Amino acid sequence: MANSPTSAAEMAVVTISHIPGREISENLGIVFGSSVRSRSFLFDIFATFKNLFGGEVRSYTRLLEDAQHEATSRLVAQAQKMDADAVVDVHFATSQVAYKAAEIFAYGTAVRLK
Amino acid sequence: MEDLFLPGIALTILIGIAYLTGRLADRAHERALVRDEALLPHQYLDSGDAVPDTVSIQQSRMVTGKVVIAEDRFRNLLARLRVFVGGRLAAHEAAVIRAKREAVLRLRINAKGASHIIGLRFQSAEISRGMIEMIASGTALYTDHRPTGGKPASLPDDGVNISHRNLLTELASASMAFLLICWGIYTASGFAIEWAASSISVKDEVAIWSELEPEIIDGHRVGSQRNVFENYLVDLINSVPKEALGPARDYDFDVMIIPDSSPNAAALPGGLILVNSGMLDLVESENELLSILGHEIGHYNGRDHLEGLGREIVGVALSAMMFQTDAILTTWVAGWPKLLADRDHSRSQELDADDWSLKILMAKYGHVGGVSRTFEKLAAMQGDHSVMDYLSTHPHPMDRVNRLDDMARERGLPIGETIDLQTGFDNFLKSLTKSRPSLWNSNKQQLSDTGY
Repeated sequence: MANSPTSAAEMAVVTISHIPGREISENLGIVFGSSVRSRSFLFDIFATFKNLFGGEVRSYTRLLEDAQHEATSRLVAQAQKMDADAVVDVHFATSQVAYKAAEIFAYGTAVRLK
Repeated sequence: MEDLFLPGIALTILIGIAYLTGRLADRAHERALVRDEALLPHQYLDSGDAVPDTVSIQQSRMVTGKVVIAEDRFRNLLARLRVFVGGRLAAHEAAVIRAKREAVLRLRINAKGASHIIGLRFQSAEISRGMIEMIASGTALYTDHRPTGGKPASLPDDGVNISHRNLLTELASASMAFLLICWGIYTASGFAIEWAASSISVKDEVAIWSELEPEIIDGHRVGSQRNVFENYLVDLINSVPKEALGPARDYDFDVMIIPDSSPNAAALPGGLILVNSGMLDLVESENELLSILGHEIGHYNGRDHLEGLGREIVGVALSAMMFQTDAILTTWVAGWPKLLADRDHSRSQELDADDWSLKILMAKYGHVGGVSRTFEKLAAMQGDHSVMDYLSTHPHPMDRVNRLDDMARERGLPIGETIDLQTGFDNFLKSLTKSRPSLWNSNKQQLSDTGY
């Protein structure tokens, strides 16, 4: 499983429809990565208190960061399996699959470059 | 304890069924997806908005695909445990991927005949908790081009997105961590409560409780008056030399009889002792009666009644905070570590309280006859030692009989004749009429008529 942070760096992942300076030779189709995660009850309790006073809930920001990172890694892993050179038009979506658990979903189009 | 076992069996059966049906549904969905994805003709899927310039477009239109998948109770339990412990929800990862594949599949069926689907977007909805809702939308392009072979025509399913863990292993590891954490919390809060209970003085306790007590008594007593037998019990406590009562001497004791057939008694804050009528049915002598009351007074000396109240409050507060409202299951699972954490503490409290009933009997009668009689009868009712004893918050009554008898022997406490309950009650009535003769007629009754 390609969860190491280096794998994301090896492949160009962009949210625009082309890689600047390069030309796309082939469209390989949709690739996606998803991660469903939760923080533990302790962070949930802190977050509840934070709700009283307002302000950034850092523990949940971390949760989103971790999940986003993992979703991107998985997206890249899938693109690598297809022998893609880059993933363009990457979008993120989120859903609440279970109470207090977040899913981050990254999807894009795997392409080969000239 | 029955309230842990019975729902436990029902829930285990429910979860077992949910596990089977859930896995069957998962597998059926997986198979249907693979079959249907293979049936569809190839199409270009693109999350970008760029219109391909190599083909001539005949028509374009928006297409969507939607799906809602419900989680089964087993996966719900797994998710709840995992959310508490933290980490990856392996059970849901497989389901959210299938939801996306299904949404895209339906979108492609709606886009039948199109060669390209561009601007593909995913959106989740939240209709209800415990459901995975996915909407896929895109623009279908109907062109002169017909893609053939070689291209991934559907969402790839290569297992990259799923934690490959056996769900039963996942259940075992998640619940283990869950139980350990709960046990830790209950034990730690137990120490905090013990400290808090011991630092509240009897005076403060009575002052706080006097505000609440009338409301509790209201439903049980007519005109908030004690009946004759309750008066007899209070008089019995008051007849014990004050110094034998220990710190509990500062209470103004009140006794209330509850019409309940289970043999039980309880110490409430503020010096209100509850005795079930089922307990009184077992009692044959005044000595036994004072032994039971002395045991409850022992709880006041150990501040156990406040601790019990505190533990209840912490239990309710924690389950409300951690599991919210609709989680019968997790509350049930969390009941076990609470039981274990409370058990050892509660047993030592019971034994300490038994010491006080010995002391109080000695002070009143000069001997400890009858101190263990009621436990003997309880033991006969409960039967032999069993597995249930291991979890019980009270020591087995037979063990308590043996312990009390041993202690009486070690300390060389004499065992004398007990006073028959009817005799004791008659003496009380006589003493009553001596001070207020007018009461004699209304109180001239047999013990059995008092309606306890």
